[in-house]
Amino acid sequence: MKTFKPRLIIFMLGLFLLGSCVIKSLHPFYTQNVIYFEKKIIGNWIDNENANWNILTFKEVILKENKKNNPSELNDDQFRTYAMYKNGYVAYFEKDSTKSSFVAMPFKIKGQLFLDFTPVEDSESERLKNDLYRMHLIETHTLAKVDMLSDNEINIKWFSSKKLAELLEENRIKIKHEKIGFAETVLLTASSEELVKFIEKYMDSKDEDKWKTDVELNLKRVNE
Amino acid sequence: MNNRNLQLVHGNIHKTLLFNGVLWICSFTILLFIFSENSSPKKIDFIYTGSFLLTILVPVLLNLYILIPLFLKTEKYLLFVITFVLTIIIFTQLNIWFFDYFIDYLFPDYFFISYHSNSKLITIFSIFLLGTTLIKLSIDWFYFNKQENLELKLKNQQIELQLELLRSQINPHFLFNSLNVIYALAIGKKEETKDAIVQLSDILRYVIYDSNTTRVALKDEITLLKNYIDFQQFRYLDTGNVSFNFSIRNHDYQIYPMLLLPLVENSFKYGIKGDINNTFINITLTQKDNLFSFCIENNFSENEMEANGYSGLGNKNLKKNLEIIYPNQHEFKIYKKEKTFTVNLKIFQK
Repeated sequence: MKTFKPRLIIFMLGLFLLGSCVIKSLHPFYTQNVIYFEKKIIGNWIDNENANWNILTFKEVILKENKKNNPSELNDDQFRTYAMYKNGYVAYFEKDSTKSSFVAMPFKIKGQLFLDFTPVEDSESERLKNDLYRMHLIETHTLAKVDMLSDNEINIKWFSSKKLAELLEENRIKIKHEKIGFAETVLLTASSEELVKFIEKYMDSKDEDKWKTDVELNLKRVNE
Repeated sequence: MNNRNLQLVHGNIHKTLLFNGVLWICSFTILLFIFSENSSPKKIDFIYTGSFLLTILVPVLLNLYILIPLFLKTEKYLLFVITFVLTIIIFTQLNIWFFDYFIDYLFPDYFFISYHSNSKLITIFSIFLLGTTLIKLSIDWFYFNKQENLELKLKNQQIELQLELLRSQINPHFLFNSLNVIYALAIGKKEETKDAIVQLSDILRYVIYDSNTTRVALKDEITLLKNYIDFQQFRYLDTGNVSFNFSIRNHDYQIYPMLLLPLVENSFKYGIKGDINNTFINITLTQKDNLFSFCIENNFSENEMEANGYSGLGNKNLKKNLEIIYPNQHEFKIYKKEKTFTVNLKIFQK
């Protein structure tokens, strides 16, 4: 009889602990009209936990991956993806010899820059290619507030699930969501329009700790 | 009159308040249940439902108390539809603005995010306005129907009273004449006095008891007329030539009681009793299928009519009676020639 391996339990627990501290959504946190391409984000960065970030434009990556020189050479499916994310980035994240990548879509609401992160691939989970476990995972979106401290320094704060949990517990918010899994993790199921509306209103909130989070990174540009 | 108007105004205000009270309490409960999405309502749901009702209150009241009376009830349907649709569109947009901007000033600590899409809002506003319009029309119809029944009842009562009045004008008239006849016989110590009393008794029984109904059989009316003519002949034994011819298919043909007697009475009063020679009364009565016809003709003297103070009251009463009893189902004509007076009555019953 097979039993859970201790390594897998630790991995799952780690995923849960990390995952449970930022709010996840089924739909993107942005709508097409708020997308704002920020050129300064592109480049190589190192964060305060010594993880490396290589941020490229989505356009560049999709053409390179498909070995094309311009978008018109892409097939219909590829072009659809290209059109959807052309103003976004692909962020390659490397930490402790593990690699993962994300699509990060920049958008601005009330002058504040945000990034919507969606996972693309992960070297750890790639190893579980034929595993039943992997079949049960879906990509969700997370919301990060981005502050350009200078041309060479960025502060990224992921929106904490604790803040939303507080609002829900106090019955001060009505937003579509589900509680999933054993830990009853909150998954937002509201539409992108509703999420934009929420961010707009949340920015007006007088709560001084509204962006307080456990997942905050400071990225510094790496000069090549 | 002023008090009655004041009572009506108070009654209307009371009805309006009651209607709106019930409407908005029910609306609040239903919307709260819908907006809570089957979970137990929370404080935010109460706030949202109350605020939502505020945005829908104005268009509903505008529709109920301005658009419906001004356009729908005056049959300006196109104008009503246009203003109705405009109301829905404008107030739905105002609702969107209200929840996008103003609600944050009223309740800054609350986040009203996942409620309704614009299309769903338009649907809610349309259903609400249509629903309240139908409720209002139903209630108005209910009150209108009640009022109409009341008016109909009052009108019937008025007609009954009018008929009673008309009958009471006939009966004493007839009784007075009859007593005169018996008095004359008694003075002359005639043998026929006791027969006359019996006949009068039969006539009165019919007049007082049997005719106290809406319809009687034609045969009974004919018996009455025969009795009356026989009775009158006690008085005018040798002075007149009275002929009464009738042809009836259905003896049970229903007719309004005491309809014909006043005509016969008048003929005796102004014909036989007059100062002319060779007086006559010709009565012809026919009934076939739905048609009833009665024609009475007599000769008369202008002098006698003037002396008796002829005013035509009997015929006027009869005419009023006919208009009430047989509206649009009768023909009543009077022909007055130099020496003859003819009345022709036709009834066409459906």
